[in-house]
Amino acid sequence: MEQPTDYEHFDISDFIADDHFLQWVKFPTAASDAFWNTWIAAHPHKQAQTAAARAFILGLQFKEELPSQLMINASLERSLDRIAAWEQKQQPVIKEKGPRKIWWWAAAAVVVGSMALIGRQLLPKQPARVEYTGLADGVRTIWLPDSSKVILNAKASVSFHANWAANGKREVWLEGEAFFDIKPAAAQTFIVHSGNLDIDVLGTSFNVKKDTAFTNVTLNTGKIKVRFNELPEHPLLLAPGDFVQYAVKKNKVIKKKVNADLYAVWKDERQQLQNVTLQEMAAYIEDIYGYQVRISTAELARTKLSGGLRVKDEKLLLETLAFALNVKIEKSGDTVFIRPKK
Amino acid sequence: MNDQQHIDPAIWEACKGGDKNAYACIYKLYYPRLFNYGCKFTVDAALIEDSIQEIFVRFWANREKLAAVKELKSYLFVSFRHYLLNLLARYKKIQENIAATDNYAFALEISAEQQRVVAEEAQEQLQVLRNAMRRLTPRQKEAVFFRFYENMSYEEIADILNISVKATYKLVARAILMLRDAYNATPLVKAVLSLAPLAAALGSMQLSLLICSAQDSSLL
Repeated sequence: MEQPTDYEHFDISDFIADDHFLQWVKFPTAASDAFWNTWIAAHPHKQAQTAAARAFILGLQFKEELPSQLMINASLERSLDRIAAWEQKQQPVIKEKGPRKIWWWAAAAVVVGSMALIGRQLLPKQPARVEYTGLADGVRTIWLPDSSKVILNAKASVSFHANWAANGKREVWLEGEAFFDIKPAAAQTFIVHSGNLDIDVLGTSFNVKKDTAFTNVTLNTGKIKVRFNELPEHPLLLAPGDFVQYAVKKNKVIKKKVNADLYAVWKDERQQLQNVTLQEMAAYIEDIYGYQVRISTAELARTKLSGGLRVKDEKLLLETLAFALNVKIEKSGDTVFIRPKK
Repeated sequence: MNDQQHIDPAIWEACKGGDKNAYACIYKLYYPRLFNYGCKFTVDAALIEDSIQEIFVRFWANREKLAAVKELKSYLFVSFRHYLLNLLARYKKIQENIAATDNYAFALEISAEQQRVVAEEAQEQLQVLRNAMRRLTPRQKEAVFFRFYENMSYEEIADILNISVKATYKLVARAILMLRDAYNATPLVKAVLSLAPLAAALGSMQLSLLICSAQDSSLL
């Protein structure tokens, strides 16, 4: 290994900045070990400096934000899809070469045929499923094979067939709460199955929350159709800002206009809300936490809120509201009273 | 973590020839590293993901033009940095090209795990280092990241930051001095010494601190 000779005149900073020294500290080899141990032994007055430089380098350990194996694989899948799409766009150039075209198709037919044959023999009867599960606490973003984005709330999960969109339909099954941002694809409908209702999507973003008693669907942008398993004759077409709640036990549907941003507020820690009235907020608390909310004056109900809001849990939400609006919030049974502070 | 410095030349050749498995190897090696790097600029994981997706398609389209495997790493970091910063600029509706200026935040932080591990008496010193890190300019932090986390050569760093190799040496040397100052000097003397660079860095520091604190509480 070639080494400069003037290490004699190095100070601590010079050692830290030196390539060979850094490589030795971080990735020692037999050769570099031999070199530096010999060098330090021969220059005992430099021992303290090299030790300090070494400690400095090893002390620099940075905060890492590494994606999980699942995220890496999902991202790789998307990337492979994208380069395949890119290659297909390049294809016409090859096609123009006349007779070759026939060979191309013949080869392709063989490959597809044999794959199908193997598939039939090896695959189990039930098509394999891919499932993404949310974090125990916090929000997780995943991408579906078509690059649609799904933000899973805590403990939610979404699953789909491993052979994605094989029958021309993009289909996912949801447990818990999720926000969907669907990539438009005219030829392939997108369906969300959520327990007792199905949602047909037409390129859009919306929020679905399923729990044992209710399933809530809120549409942020675009257009969706909600079909109820127990009310097959009453599908609902939703426009942005529409909120639909299906009560499982009563087999009843409520539809109303809400502030849709508010219903998807959980998905983003830094979500900024613009001009949400306390009235809208009260409706949200009623829908999500199952309270009756009473606001003492109409003027107070019209008070507007803007800014960042974190809705981790009910207690935090009510405390934040009380603080931000300088109001008194009291719970009595399942009713929440909001009145001005005296 | 980064003991695998470069991709195996054989895998690189296979990828150039169109082997998707080789491509997957490269993707799996660099995706987490680009992701981690991107998190220093923004907490918006979707923007980071989009940028990585985009530059990898471009990489696949242009792979035959890349001469050597040695170039691969800086090529990926250069194009990722450029793409992400432009995307962030568009988001913030900033007219200027932030890639060309110092007008960005780089939230490089000393790991919290380390703090849990070290002995009580070393805690204070680590805190001092942590504070000194925040005082570096975004560009200095980026250079420190590439040098001591990604273990890149000065040439590679110069390529990515689009400055001369000589300027890179200077940038790293100055950052080391500032960090070491914090390490050694008693707090009082040090405060006086580092006041000038502190003032210089203040504008971008506030932005960076803001992002740091938001990042601590967010989970992916």
